[in-house]
Amino acid sequence: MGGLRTMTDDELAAALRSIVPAVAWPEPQLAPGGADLASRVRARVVAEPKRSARGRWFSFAPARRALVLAIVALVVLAAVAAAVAFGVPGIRLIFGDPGGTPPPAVATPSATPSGSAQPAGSSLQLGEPVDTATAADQAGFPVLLPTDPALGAPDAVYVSGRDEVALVWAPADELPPTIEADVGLLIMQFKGSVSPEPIGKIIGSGTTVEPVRIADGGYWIEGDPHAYFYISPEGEHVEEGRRWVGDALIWQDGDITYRIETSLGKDAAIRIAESLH
Amino acid sequence: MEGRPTEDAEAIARARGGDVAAYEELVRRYQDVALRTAYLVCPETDVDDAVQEAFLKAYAALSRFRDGAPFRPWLLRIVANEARNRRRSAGRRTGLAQRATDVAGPAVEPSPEHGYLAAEQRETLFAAINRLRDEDREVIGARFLLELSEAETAEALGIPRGTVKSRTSRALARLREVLTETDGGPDGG
Repeated sequence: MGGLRTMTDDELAAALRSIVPAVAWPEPQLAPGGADLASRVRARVVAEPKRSARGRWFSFAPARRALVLAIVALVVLAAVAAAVAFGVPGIRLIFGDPGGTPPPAVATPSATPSGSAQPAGSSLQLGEPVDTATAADQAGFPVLLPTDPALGAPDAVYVSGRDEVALVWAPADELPPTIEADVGLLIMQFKGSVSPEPIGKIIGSGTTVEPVRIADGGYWIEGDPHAYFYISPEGEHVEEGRRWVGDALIWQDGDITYRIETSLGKDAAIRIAESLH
Repeated sequence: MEGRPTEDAEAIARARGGDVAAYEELVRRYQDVALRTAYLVCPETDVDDAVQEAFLKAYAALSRFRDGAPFRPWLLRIVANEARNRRRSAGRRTGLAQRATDVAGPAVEPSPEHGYLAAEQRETLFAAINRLRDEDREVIGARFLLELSEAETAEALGIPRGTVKSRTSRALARLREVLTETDGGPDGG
């Protein structure tokens, strides 16, 4: 055979394969007690439960969880920065006082006739059920409604202690239920001051975030249910109390932030968003 | 050492559910290739310790393992990263070593398992491999010493799948250059 340096790639590859048995590969070591690598790993897995695979992010100890949240916030910041760089304005959101205030005792009559079943979305802790005009009064901004006649007026309107307005439609023929069986469509509207503080989102492995061009910029978030939180001016993260009910379109227009949750898909969500008036 | 998709998937599912014996089984299945990978990436480190650490990290990350994906390259990537992290503190580079019996010389050869290289050529080849840059040694080692597929090599070393072929051929070209530098005579070593 020729010299090594004149070998073709294939010959060199074969020469390399031929030296495999000659390499001083490390052998699995036995510990003094006779424990092999696999049983030592097992023993450490048992002894160090903090690293257990069973712990999902929500079952981490609080300190660890805070770290995870902070890391996710950084990732989202980077995504927003990237979106801005590509000409899609990022959503720069911090909503009111993240500490919140207790829900005021709203004396307004319920939007649903008394005696009827619970209003749609009543289990979501969206706030007090009110009518649209009252919601707008309390929130301090005009509440927009979708103009699509197929949707009609919302089945329930809520305003929260943080002046977040929620419009809820019960499922209907053209409006499949979301994760919540009694909710077909949820539209949230709330004041978001322009601020460098980001909204952070917990994005699970099965969730995608896609920038969309709408108003001052927004995102379509699709996939596994996600929780979200925002970071207070003090640097604390504040988690929203509930999971979102479905895929979400979130965007900002002026100083108001809007969020649509639906199982109708992105295009339908955008159509609804564009119809808000 | 080959991947066993069905058995792996079962063991992973059980390990995720907290069955440490199932994970121990996975460790035992892949410990040899894990040790070799760590050795290839950082021959100077305590590979047993590096691999143990990598298996613990893999266990903690099992919830992020994509169902249906091959386990072996996923694991080897964690191993390779762990070994890379230890390079800085690993001290002087020594490179891959030959088995003592092989260094001893003619007593063990010619033997079919050592192929057709003469002892001297083998020596030259080891020396050349050990003069390569880390990334060249890694890709050559993954493909020809660990016999990983291109796809597995890409995942294990964290390089784009489409560039494994070109990186391998570039690394072979460098290996040839090194051999030319060290391998004086017209017919080489």
